Amino acid sequence: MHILTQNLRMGRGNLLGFGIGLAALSLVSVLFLPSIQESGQELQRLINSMPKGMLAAFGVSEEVDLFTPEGFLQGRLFALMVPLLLIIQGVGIGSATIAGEEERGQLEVVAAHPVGRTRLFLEKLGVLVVALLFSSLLLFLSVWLGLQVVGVSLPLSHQLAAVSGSFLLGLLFGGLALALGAWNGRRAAALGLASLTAVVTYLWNALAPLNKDLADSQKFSPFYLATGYEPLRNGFDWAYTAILLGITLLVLALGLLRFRQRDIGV
Amino acid sequence: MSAIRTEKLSKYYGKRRGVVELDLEVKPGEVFGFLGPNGAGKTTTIRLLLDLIRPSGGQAWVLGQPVRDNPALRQRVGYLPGELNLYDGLTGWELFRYFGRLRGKLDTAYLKQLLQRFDLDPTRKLRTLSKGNKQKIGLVQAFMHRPELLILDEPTSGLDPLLQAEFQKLVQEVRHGGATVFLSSHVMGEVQALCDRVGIIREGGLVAVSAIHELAERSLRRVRIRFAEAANPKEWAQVPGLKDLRVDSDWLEATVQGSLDPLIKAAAQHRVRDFISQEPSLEEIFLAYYDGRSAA
Repeated sequence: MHILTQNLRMGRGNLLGFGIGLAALSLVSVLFLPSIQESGQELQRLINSMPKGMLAAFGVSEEVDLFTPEGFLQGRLFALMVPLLLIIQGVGIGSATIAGEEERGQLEVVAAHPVGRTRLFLEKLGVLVVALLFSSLLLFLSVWLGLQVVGVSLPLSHQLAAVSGSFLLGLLFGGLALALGAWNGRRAAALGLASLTAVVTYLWNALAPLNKDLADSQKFSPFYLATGYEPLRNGFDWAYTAILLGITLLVLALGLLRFRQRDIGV
Repeated sequence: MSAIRTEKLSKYYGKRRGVVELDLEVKPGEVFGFLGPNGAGKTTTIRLLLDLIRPSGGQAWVLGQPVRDNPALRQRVGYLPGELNLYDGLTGWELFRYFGRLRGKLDTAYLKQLLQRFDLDPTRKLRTLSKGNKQKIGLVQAFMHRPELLILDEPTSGLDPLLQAEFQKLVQEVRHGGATVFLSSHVMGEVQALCDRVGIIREGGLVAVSAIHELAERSLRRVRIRFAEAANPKEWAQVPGLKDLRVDSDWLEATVQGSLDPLIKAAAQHRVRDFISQEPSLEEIFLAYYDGRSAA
């Protein structure tokens, strides 16, 4: 566990800053709930006048009722903003912790210690998981606290489902970046490819419903499986969660297999 | 049991050659110099021994054990990379503590002793250290757990002469304590001062292994002497050990094989204005070695 703890220690400033930023942003959004509900009708007219494609791209689909607390928080936080931030954190850490250190020549010195490849990979994965868990915990606390303050009650399990869906997105794309970095040690490639995949699958989830023939394919996007199904309104979908976790594990397993075989630092 | 043994060890990076069918044996308790020009395959060999890169063919054993997927073996090995890159945001202490944990324990008393010898301030962030001081950090982390085998890639690069001497003392000490030292270099002088035996690597293959005194006997020097008066070519042609002799008015140029003594005794008969002796390049040593072999 020494690699994991050392990496967390070295990154503690970033970790804390990011988590607090995410929590503050979420808290503010939740605190806006009452005022949104008051001016609901005007906003609804405004929204109706906007192009559907644009709305969809920002995570506002027709099914989401923006003026229920669930709908507002879905549109404001969980459709795009929160997953995006956790993905940024995940991809950043995932691409830096193996490939980034390798490109700077630091990984070589660690790998020359009595540390096997599998352990090295798993501890680096641990860094990613702990960082995302920490951010998600602060996120959950701030949403919960905000709802208490404005006096809106949503089932705790639904709040948990929305946060964990966002966490899983961060883990999936962060894990993809980690695995790509473990595959060939190139940080920019890992960062770019993981980000690109995130953008494409996001747009797929957001825009597919606009076309009747493609509407069903939305369910193949991780964004749908994570937060697109509106966990805040519908609660946990265990099947979706399992699929998401399965994809993540598969990606990680491939990265690990290659990392065990390949040359480090060439 | 050999400290290091390789059998037909090969490494290609795609089509680029790393090392080719390298057979190497380092005996326990010796200081072995791995000498070769840049790009000859020294670093490739070292990285293969640490299982950082995987061979295209052949095998390697360290301390009697195969190196492949054998992390526990590296507990007994200390390593200094040729291009040292550490975590710049850490202080020396923080780095040593981290590496100590990776090895299980840290011998603080010995560490402090090493820091004192190399005159290192462990409270400074690595980012603020000069290249020489960073190199010292690298040396300390390689020695601090008293490994049975030290693998050092160009260990004295960036060290000033005083610290090079301290490093040489340290190497002799651990050798007396029973450790084996394998170090690479592209400087003949350094290897001569430190090593029992030398392996010369060239274009990915080992061309010669010899005891250091044998190498010195075969070694060549390019010498240039300027006299106060004109030199007589006939007189110099009789001095033993001179090759490629050229005499032109008041100066003389020659390649000396083996001892310099006859030349200096002869030169002492005249007034000498200037004397320049150049250490031979590795290529020249190699060629001399090769010539000597084919002649014998």
